[in-house]
Order: sequence, then C-alpha cells, then structure tokens
Amino acid sequence: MVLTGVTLSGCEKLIEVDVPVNQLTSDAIYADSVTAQATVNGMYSVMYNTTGGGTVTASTFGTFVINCPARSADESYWPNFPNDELVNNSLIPSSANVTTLWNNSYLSIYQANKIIEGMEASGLSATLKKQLIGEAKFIRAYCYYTLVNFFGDVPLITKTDVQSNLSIGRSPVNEVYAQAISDLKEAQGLLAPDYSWSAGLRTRANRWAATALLARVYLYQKEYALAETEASKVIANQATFSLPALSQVFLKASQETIWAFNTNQFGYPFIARALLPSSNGEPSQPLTPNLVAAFERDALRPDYEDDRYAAWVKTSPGGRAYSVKYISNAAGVNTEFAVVLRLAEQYLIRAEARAQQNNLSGAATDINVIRTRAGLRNTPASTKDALLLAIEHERQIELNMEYGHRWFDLKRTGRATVVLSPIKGANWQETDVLYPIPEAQITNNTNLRQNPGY
Amino acid sequence: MYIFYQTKLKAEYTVFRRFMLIMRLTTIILISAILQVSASSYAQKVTLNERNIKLTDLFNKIRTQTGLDFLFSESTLKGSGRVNIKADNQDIRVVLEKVFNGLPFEYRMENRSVIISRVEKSFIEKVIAPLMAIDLTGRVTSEKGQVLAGASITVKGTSFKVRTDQYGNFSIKGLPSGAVIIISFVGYIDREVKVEVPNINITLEVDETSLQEVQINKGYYSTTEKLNTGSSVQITSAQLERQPISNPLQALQGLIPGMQIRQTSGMAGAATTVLIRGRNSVNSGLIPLYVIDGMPFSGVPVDQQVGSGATILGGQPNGATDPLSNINPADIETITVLKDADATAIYGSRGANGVVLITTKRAGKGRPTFNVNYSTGLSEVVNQRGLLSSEDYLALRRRAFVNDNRTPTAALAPDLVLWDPSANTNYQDMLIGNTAKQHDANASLSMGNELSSLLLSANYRNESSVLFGGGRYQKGGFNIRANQTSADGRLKLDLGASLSLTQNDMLGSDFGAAAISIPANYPLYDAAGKLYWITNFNNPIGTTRQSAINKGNTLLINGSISYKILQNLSFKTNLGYTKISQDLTAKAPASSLSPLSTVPVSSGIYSSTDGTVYIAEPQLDYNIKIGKGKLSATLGGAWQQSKNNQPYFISANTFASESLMDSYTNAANFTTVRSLNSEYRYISGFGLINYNWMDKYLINAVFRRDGSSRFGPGKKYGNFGSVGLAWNFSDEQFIKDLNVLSFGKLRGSYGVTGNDQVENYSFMDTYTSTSSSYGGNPGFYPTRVANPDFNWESNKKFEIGLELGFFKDRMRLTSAFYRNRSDNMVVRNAPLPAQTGFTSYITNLDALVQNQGVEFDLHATPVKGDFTWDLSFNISISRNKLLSLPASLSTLYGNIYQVGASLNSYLLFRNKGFVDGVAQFEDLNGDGFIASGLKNDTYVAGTRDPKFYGGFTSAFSYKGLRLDLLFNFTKQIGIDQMGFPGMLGSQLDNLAESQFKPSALTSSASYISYLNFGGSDGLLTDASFIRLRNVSLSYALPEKWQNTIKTKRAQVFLRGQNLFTITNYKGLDPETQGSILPPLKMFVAGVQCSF
Repeated sequence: MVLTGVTLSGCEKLIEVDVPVNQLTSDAIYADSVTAQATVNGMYSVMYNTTGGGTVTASTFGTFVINCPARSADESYWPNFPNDELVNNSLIPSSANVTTLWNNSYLSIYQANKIIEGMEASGLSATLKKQLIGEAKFIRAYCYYTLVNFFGDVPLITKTDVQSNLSIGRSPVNEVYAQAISDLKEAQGLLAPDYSWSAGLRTRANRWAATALLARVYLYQKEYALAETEASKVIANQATFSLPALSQVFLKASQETIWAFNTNQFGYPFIARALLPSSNGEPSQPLTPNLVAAFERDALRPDYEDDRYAAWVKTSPGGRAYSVKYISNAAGVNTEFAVVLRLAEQYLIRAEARAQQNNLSGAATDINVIRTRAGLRNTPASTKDALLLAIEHERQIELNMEYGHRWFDLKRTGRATVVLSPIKGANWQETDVLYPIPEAQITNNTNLRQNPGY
Repeated sequence: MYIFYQTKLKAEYTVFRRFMLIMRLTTIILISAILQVSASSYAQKVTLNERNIKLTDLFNKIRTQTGLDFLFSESTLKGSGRVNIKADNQDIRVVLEKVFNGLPFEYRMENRSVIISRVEKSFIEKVIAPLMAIDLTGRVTSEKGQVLAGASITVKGTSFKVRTDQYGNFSIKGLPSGAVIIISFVGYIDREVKVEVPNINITLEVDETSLQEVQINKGYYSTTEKLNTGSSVQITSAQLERQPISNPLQALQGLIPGMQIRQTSGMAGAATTVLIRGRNSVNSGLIPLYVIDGMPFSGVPVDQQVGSGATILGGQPNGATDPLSNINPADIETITVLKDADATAIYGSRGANGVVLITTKRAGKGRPTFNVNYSTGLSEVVNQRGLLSSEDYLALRRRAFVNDNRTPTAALAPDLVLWDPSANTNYQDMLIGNTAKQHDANASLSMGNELSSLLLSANYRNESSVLFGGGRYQKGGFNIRANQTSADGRLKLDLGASLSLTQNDMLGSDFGAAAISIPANYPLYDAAGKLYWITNFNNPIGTTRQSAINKGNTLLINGSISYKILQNLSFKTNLGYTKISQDLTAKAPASSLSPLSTVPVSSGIYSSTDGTVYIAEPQLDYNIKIGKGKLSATLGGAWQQSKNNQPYFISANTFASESLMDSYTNAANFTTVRSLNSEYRYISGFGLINYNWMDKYLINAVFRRDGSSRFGPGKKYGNFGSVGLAWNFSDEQFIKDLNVLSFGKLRGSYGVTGNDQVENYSFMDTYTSTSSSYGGNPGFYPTRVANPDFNWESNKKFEIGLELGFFKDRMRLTSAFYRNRSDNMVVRNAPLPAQTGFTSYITNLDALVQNQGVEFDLHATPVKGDFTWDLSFNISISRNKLLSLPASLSTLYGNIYQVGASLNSYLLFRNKGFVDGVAQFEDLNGDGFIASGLKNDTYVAGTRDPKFYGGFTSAFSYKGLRLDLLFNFTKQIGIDQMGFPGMLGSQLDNLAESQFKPSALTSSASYISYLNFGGSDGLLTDASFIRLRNVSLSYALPEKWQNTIKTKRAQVFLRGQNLFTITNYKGLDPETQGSILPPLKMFVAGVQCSF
C-alpha cells in the first residue's frame, strides 16, 4: 500500500488530459486576442443563432423577442393555433416561450459577465480590452432592458460565480435599469465611435449603439431631458446615420442601422422566415386587422396614403396581411440584417421626450421627419396629449414587428389595458402586462416570487 | 518392488531406476511429537477428501482424526510428490493401501504408529524395469461417453503430467510397467489406474462435490467456488451456446440473481439495459464495468461515447447500438458477474455498478480440431396489440362528432368522409408482421501441445427484419488466440486479437407505434397513385424510402506476459488495445417526407465515431504458507487511456438529386458540421491480501487507489477497498458429524466502491467553438458552469451470504442478503436557476440511496444416471429507496424523487374515476388545481423496479439427447397505453374500459382530462410476466455413427427463443412496454460438428 501511494504521487502527469480540439480553457482564451474576440462573436452568435450551444434551442433574439410581444400586443396573431397563449394573454409559468426568453437572456448575461471578468484579468492590449468589455456591457444592458420589460423585477447578476448567483432574488426594475444605464454610460466611453471592429458592417455594438440604447432606456425611465440629449447625439451624427428610402431601411448597408445582428447560420434573418408565407402561400403569423387598419390610407389623396403600407405589408391569396420588412428567407438570397437599433426610433424617442418636456414644436418636427419619409403630410396634432398619441401611433406603424416596441410602449405608457382590453376581450387581465417567471426558476431558487396573476 | 520416477523435459517420459542405499529406517521426525494424543480419540476410521496434498500434510490430517503417529525420516519421503485421496469413514488400512498404491513405500502399523519405509528393489527388478517400459496410449471419456478434452494424467508420485486432446486421447512414452497414473478432470472423480497394458480406455464419474473446485475468475485473481469470499456468478459457454442470440448479455437473462437485464427493443443489435442490484445513482451512469480478457470495454453505445451533444440524434436507427453485440457469443468461454464489495472493490472507482468479466476461449491441447457450427432460423413478433375493429372505430369517430356538435368534414375527419369505410388493412401485419430469417455460422480451429496452443475462429451472422421494407443486420468476425509457455514453465505468453464487423441496414423507424396507430382504412396512395399524406402520421411507405446504414467495427487486441520469478513469486502484465468505430449514413429523401406543412427537403446525417482504449496493468503475486494457512498477496497497478473521436458529424440538406445523397459533399446546405474528441485517463494502484486457514477460515482484503482525469485538481484520487470473510463450516467436525451438509459456507463482505461514470472534462472551465460562425467570424461560447470541486460518488456495499450443499452437492443453495448505500451523488445536471447562465451543472448532492435485497439461487440434480435431470431456480427481491435528500434540494427534485420511495417511482395523479366522461383527479394539496411541478398533486403510485425477478431452468438428458428449458419471470407494474376515443388514429381495444366521453376536439373537457390521465395512476397495470425464454433440444450422434462420418463430435439442435409469454399486460410486450418493437420469437435449427 505504501508503495502504491508513493508510485501514484509521481503519476499526476499520467492522468492529465488536454482539452478537446473544439474547446479552450477560459484562461487560455483571454490570453489570445483572436480567441478573446471570438468569445464576443460567440456571445452574438448564441443570442441570434438557433444552435449556439449551452441551453439555446431556438433563436431568442432572432424570433422570440419579436414574436412573443407582437402577439401579446395587437400586432400579429397565429391563425393555425386559435388557442395561442400569447394572443390570448394566457401564458402559464411552464410555458416554453417565457422559459426561452428568461433562460437565454441570462445565458447571454453570463457570457457578457464572463467576458468582462476575463478581459479585466487579461494582459491583452488596452484597446482590445476597452472594446470587448464595452460590447459585453452593452449586451448585458440590452438583456436587462429586455428582461425587465417582459418580467418586471428580475435578479440582477453581474458576476459569474455560480454559488453566489444561484440564490439571488428579484431586484426592483429601477435598480436593474440603474445597472443598465451605468453599463451603457461606461460602454459609451469604452467603445469605438465607428464600425471598424466589424469591418464596416453594423453588426457589433459601438459607441452609437450604446448611445441609442441609452436614449431608449432614459425614455422608458421617464428621464426625458437625458433621453433627448442621447437621441440628439445620434441624430446629430449625420455623417454616419441618415434615413434612406423605405425599401432600403433593412438592407445590410442601410445608413439608418445603428446596430443589427449579422445573418443566422443559414444566411438570412430569422424573422423573415417566421413572418413570410410558407410553401402554401400563407403566412403563419399574419398582421392583425387592427394593425392593418392603423395605417393611414387613402389612395385617392397621396398625402393621406402611408407609403409604409405598400413598402412593408403584403396580402396573401388567403387575405392575410403579413410583414415584408424582411424578404430574405432562404439561404443564398440574403440582402438584410436583423436591425435592432435604427435612426427612425431615435427621432421618435426625441419627439416623445420633447413633447413630455412641452417642447411641442420640436416634437412635431421630429415626428414629421418620419412622416415625410412615409409620404405623409405633417402631423395635425398640436397639444401635448395629441402629440403623445400621435407618437404612439407613429411608433406603432414605423416600428411594427420590431423587437417588442408596441408591447413595451403600451405597458410603459400605462395604456395597455385601455388599448388591448377592447381587442382581447375577456382574455385580458391587468396582470397580463408582466409575463410569469418561468416555473422552473421558482422551483430552483426559492428566493424568487411569482408575478401577480399567475 | 519399488520404482522412482524422474521427469525429463518435454512430453516424452522416460524413467530410470535410481539405486537407493538407504537400508535402514531412520525414524526420528514426528509431526505429532509435540502433541499427546489421548486414547479416547483413537479411531480406526477416517474421512478424507484431499487433492494434490503432500504426504506429510496428509499424514498430519490422518493423525488428527485417528491419533495415529507417523514415523519416517525426511529423506524417506524426499521427492515423493503429491497424492489425491478420498475416503468416507473408511478403515485406516484401506485408506493407507490407497495412498501407497504405486508409491515406492511400504508401511507397517505398530501400536499407535505407522512406520514408513522406502521399498528397496531387488537387483533383477532394477535390471528388467527399463525393458518392461510401456508406451501408453489411452482415451478418457465420461460415463455417458462424452469425450473429456483437457483431462490431466499424472504419474503417481511424480510431477509429470499430460493432458488429453480434443478427442480425449493422450499418450505417455516409456512408462514402467506397474506405474500408477491418476486421471483427473474438473467436475469428475479422480481415478487411479495401474498401467499394465499399452492401451487403455478410462471413464470418469461425475463428482458433484467438486463443484466446489470450479475456478472462479475474479479479474486480477481467481479462486474456487469453495474459497470464494465474495458474491459472484459464473456462466459458461455451454449455457451461452444454447441461445440463438447475437448479444451475449441477452443470454444472461434469467440466469443471474441480482442482474436485471432488459432488451430495449426487438431490433437486431439494439441496446440492452443491465442493472446489477438496482439503481445506485441519481444520475451518474448505471452501466456495469465490462472487462473482456482483462480489458475494460465500454458498455456505452458507441455514438454516445464522445460525450454529451455528440449523440447522433434522429440518425441512429433502432435505438442505440450496444457495443457488446459486437462480441461474438461463440468466442466466449465464461462470463462472471461480480456483485458484492469483496468481488468488485478491486475495480475500485468503477465497481459500484457491478463488474462483468468476459473471458474468451483458449485452445485445448492435442491434435488439431476443427469445429463448425451452422444454424438458420426464423423470427417474428410474438403478439399483436388488440385494436378496435374498423367498424367500431368509425362508429366511435361519428359519435365523437355528434358529441362535439360538429359535422365531420374532409379536413376534420378524412377517415369518415374521404376514405373507403370498408377498407380494412391490418397495419400490424403489414408493418411488423414479416418473418425475419437468420443465418449464423461459426468455425474454429484449435491446436496445441504442452507448451503452446493456437485458436483461430471466424463467424458470420445475417439477420433480416420483421419490419415492412426489410433491412438487414450482418455481423462477421475473426478471432485468433495464441498461448506459449517456456520450457521451464516460468514464462507464459497469452496473445489474442479479434475483429468484428457489423453492418446494420435496418430502417430508421421501428414501426411499432405506426402499426398500432394508423387507422385500418387509411389509404397509402391517393387516387392518382401518389403517396397519401395527412398531418397525423407518416405514410409508412414514405418511411421505407428512408435509410440508415450503420457500419461498425471492433478490434480487440490483448495479451499478457507472466513470469515466475521464484517458486512463490510471479510477475504478470496485461496489455491491451481496443478500437471501436461506427460510421453512419442516414438519408431522408424529400420523397419520403410529408409535403403538407413545408416543402420537403432531402436531408442526411453523416457521421463517424470511434473510440480507442490502451491499458497496461502490471502485477506481482506472492504466496506463502504461514502456520496452517496460506497467505497470498497481489500488488498491482493499472494505467488506462481512452480516446473518443468524432472526426465528423454532418447534418446536411438540399441535394440536387435524391440519388446524390450518399455523400454530403453533394448537399447545398449544412445545418451542423462538427468535429469532437475527448480523452480520459486513469491510473490506479491496488493490493490484495488473502489468508486461508485450512480452507476453513478465509479473509480477503482489497485496497485500491484510483486517479481519474474526470475530476478536478485535488479531487482526482479516491480510495476504495473491502474486506471479505468466509467460513466453510461444513469442514468443521461437528457439522460433518451431523451428516446433512456436503457443503456449507457463511460469508460476508463490506467495502466501498466508486462510480466515475460522469462526463469527461466536467470540472473544466472551457469555451467551445460555436457550430455556426457569427458573420463568418469564429465564435466561442462557455461550455458549462464549471465546478472544479465535485468528486467521487461512493457506494458502500454490505453482504451476507450462505451457501449450502446437500446430498453430495446434488442440491446447492446460495442465498444472499445485501444492502448497498450510495452517497455523495454526482449529479451532472443538478438543476440551477437559469439566472446563473445555465440550467444545470455538475455537483455532488448529499443524497443517500439504498438498494437492499435478497437473492436465492438453487441448483439441483434430482435424477442422475443415463437419464439426468438438472434443475435450477433463482429469484431476486430488491428494494430501491431514496433515504435522504437535503432539504435545500428537495424542491429541485420534488417532481422526480421522493424521500422514502424508489428512485424509479411513478409520481402520478390519483385518478378518482369519471364524471360525465371527464376524468377526475384528486387535488392532493387542496389548492383547487390539478398540476404537477410546484403545485404538486402527484403521489408515489408505484415503482418501475420489479418486485422480484428471476429464472428457472430445467435440463433433461438421456444419452446424446438433451433438452434445456429456460424461463425468466418478472413481477412488476407498468404503464398501459390508451388512446382517446374519438381522435383520428387507430384505437386500442382497452378503450372498452375507457369512460371518456368521445370527442374529436382537443379543447373538449374530456380530452383535456385525458392529457392528465396519461400522467395518472389510471394507466398503471400489471406488467408481470413469465416467459419461456429459451428452449434447446440437441442430439449428439452416437459414437458409431460418428466414426462412420469421421467426426469426433456431431450434434444437431433445435432452439427457440421467446416462444411464449404469460402475462396480463395488454401491450405488445411487458418487457419493452409501449409501442416499441418487442423481443422477437425465434426458431433456429442447426448442426455442430467437430473433426
């Protein structure tokens, strides 16, 4: 036995194994600038691709973050499944939709935290550290923005240590936003002011993406002056951002894009696949008659005819309206990126911030920039309330089927019940504005409490 | 007259006389000198049963029984060799006659002493002895005329020994006339024969008591049935050969107490789940350690060996392929199953789930023997599921629409509106009702002499399928094994290699589910003659256009070198290399897919997976006599490296033509392109000490320290060990006096083994490359939430066993009680709140799992003679129980496990009957909802564990005719299937018991209650069964005929597998349950010849 022990102590090397060919240790990965950057690509890839690894089984930020709120609100419906839990606002805590949104947002947050910790400890160049940490903070802020808008109070996780993370309870929305704002401000300072890190493509976050998202977060937090300031920064950068024709908005080279996801592994934006008609010519997720009716339309008077209808909506042989903002839904024909942040929203953020600060003419000017591109006459609204409604309407049309704007707008302005109750009827409850916390989370972390109504 | 023999090298034997000048007896040394023997203990009768005993030891034994002293000088007995003696209460004089028969000694009894002297030869005798030498040839057979190959022939009083060849023949040259030879063969009574003629035929009688002498393989060492301190069961080739199966594990079903074996499917090559003494772990692997000729052999399906995420999902036909089905049963000599701590602790960290040792055949000695074996047979599905008649089904559908207040339309009810109501296809007949054919051929050539031997064998097997659309499973292989011993007998080499090739062309689907769900009037083709599709199920003709070709090969090379350094010290090294690989091409052409929801796209999966294992195991063995006991010690080490690779795994679609699908290079689009590998290293040191006092009291202690690459820094090593004790109480005089038992042993063991069946690298904090790039740039994502702190799961095993033999061991009963407890559970997917980034991670849980049970194994020979009847019966009763789960974790596992219940519990709703056709359930927590999960209304309704299981065998033989029956039985509960009345899809006949209100709407109250019914106790049913697992009838041709056809041994046989099953279970099969293709009924006829 003694002999055995002695022999073994010298044999430590005999049971050491190399990591598999497709893996690297975390220590090694942040010691090399190429692999360190690959962790950031991996973060975007896992957010957007269907099979990134980890727990990703569907494209969270390719389809779920768009389709779930669109159906919860009044943008689209699912005719093949009349009992759709989203359309009926009857989500249950075990729903796969909420599980995907929750789990994969936190997976991305974990990746961001890991990049921040890895790069902070890394000996790589300061330039690289700034950019990568900046992107990670931007993504973390974006994920928290998404989470609070779906779920309300959520656990605030900013480190990777599993033992301390597993029992953290929900933080108030304001605290989560405070973290997001602080991350975005830091990101503004860390990130490059151009798209050089993504070879000119607008598929990785830069200083302007952080600024644009910060403007949005301030607006949601009713910090109108700050929102106006941030939005103005973006709008003022006319060398980089401008409003192209409606048919050009979502193209890869669009000057309007502030931040978009690169194409998925099949070479097209997921949302196109989800919204365009399938082989039988019918879309599975058409636009609601409610949304179609919201477009200002009068073919006889061009000033009253919203060009966005012709540019972004089509009708199937079966009479279903569907979104054609994206038209690339098969490999090899891709011309588009999935745009998350774009200039038009910044005008609308500033319009709303100005209206709330009683700068009514300034608000009207910003609205009219958007309306003009859509071939519409200037807004007739002149009072603050009328302008705010006009902005809500303009957001409904301009940003339809894009990353949950309609659902989040109705909730943050407190108008969800007023608008949705007549449409949804008895299915609508006040408590439906928050999605349920996934059941497994409450089972696995007893410090979490369910949202009311579930 | 006396003779003294001396061995010369090699098989040739010569003897010469040696003149001895010891003319006087020097009587000095008495073994009993110290002891005073009282007159009262003096007896003239002795009982002895000794093999290979030294004369001095034998005299010692006689002295203790009789009080007689033996007087002799040491030089007298010098070189006298060893003797065998058996006497049952016989007179001392008779016994001594036997002992000294053929030995150059004479004795005389004076008072209470036996005085022994050497016999001096006369001069004449010395001169003529060489002239009288005989060149002896002979043949050894059993009473029944069976040839005994490998029987040993020893010349009494010497260490010279030869063995019989395949025909039972032997020859010895230059044997002096009057010499005595001893013929012995395991399982038979030794015979002594005085050589007077040059040609003799010897028959041996079966010796029941010698069952105790059967060698038991315990891996790094071997022992005998009698001296075994642990719990193990050994199955021999004879038992394996009788079953016409391709996977050796299946042959063990019903034969080994404590070993629960379940076929997962009736598909050829499909996996078998094996559980030895219950489920020890919450979620580490439960697979026993398989060791083939000293080489660990992974029981994990080949495609799953690379690690998680490497499983070929959807591409693996007929379930996972069992690597053990690549081992040819005909090449196996013995399979030994080790169960308790004493037996398994020497395998340390890998012994927790039990160990299965497989030893392949070695060549015998003697003239070359050529053996061929061919069989062919048919198989089919045993039974069909009862279904509602087509009229009843359609009537039910109409009633459902009436209940729903809806009118059947072409879209809602094609079966009522579009399809021909009189069409009545029996889809079970069509899809799983074919008759499969099988051919199996084995050939082997074996030759050898005293020092070397060689075995060559080849096999081929071909099975077709019972499924619609056919498919074939083919397997072929070669095996070579060579042994060499040096002339001085000190160096031994054993080398073997085997290659097995398999090709599985079975369909990608097993049709079991389709066969019972497609309505009888479903048309396969539409009016235009094209395949007809609806959304509810696939058109089976479409499915037959898919294919999955799985090619595997298994190469095993192993060898051992041993060298006897000193008389009692030897060194041995096992070396081995294993390579298994599997290539898959699975194709789903567009024409095989439903065009209803999306435009079908041809897709294929192409993968290659392989695994290699290297192992080196040096060991030192030492034996010494201490007092009246024998001490043996072994010190050894092991180093193992296993590498698994998946050079490519490609999932591709969009081909220019369906005929181009054989290569993925013709695909336009790739959804997954992956390459993986993983490595595992293992090092270990072990020690064994065994002390045997007079074969009566035994202690066996084992220690092992293992290091594994699967654990993090500081957690890599673990210590394991056991102590086993045995008492052969039937050797005690007071038991002998009772005259009841022929054998009695009480044994017990306690020890700790481990389980390291966790994924490689689990402790490592790593990034993995994403399968898809981000805009053409490579990406990495975190592989897992790393936990460097998890470590060994340990399994503490306790066992007490009682082994009894009656009527000269014609009846043997082995019974055991065991209690195994595992704690420090390694849970690979311990649930984590997703806010940590992942939903699970690997960690140790402070949970305690207990498996406790009793096992009985009875063997008896009620009738013996020309007609012999052998019986055996075994039963295992075990209980699995989760003893504790930390409170903090009980919420995590509340849905799956409950403290106090089995890990395999059914947690179900309690069905309270029906109200207006809607199933009602008990709201156990009273919250007004029926829900699982947090608002749990489930209870422990039962367990998947069998209540008891076992087997029963009966063998009748009369001369060359032999009939073997093997039944296995299991008492268990299972889950019945039940369709919902009114839905589109064929209905099972148990619908008659259903009280659901028929409806065709998934929103109807009755249908919604049906969804919960599936998770309720309403479907629990008795799934117990008794199955006639195997019948084998064989006839060995009489010797006369054999001589005519020039065979040494020829037999014809008929075999049947799964011929009938007695069960109350209504589904296809109580063993596989559900709608999986059940184990098949099989008839096989064949012939076996040796030349």
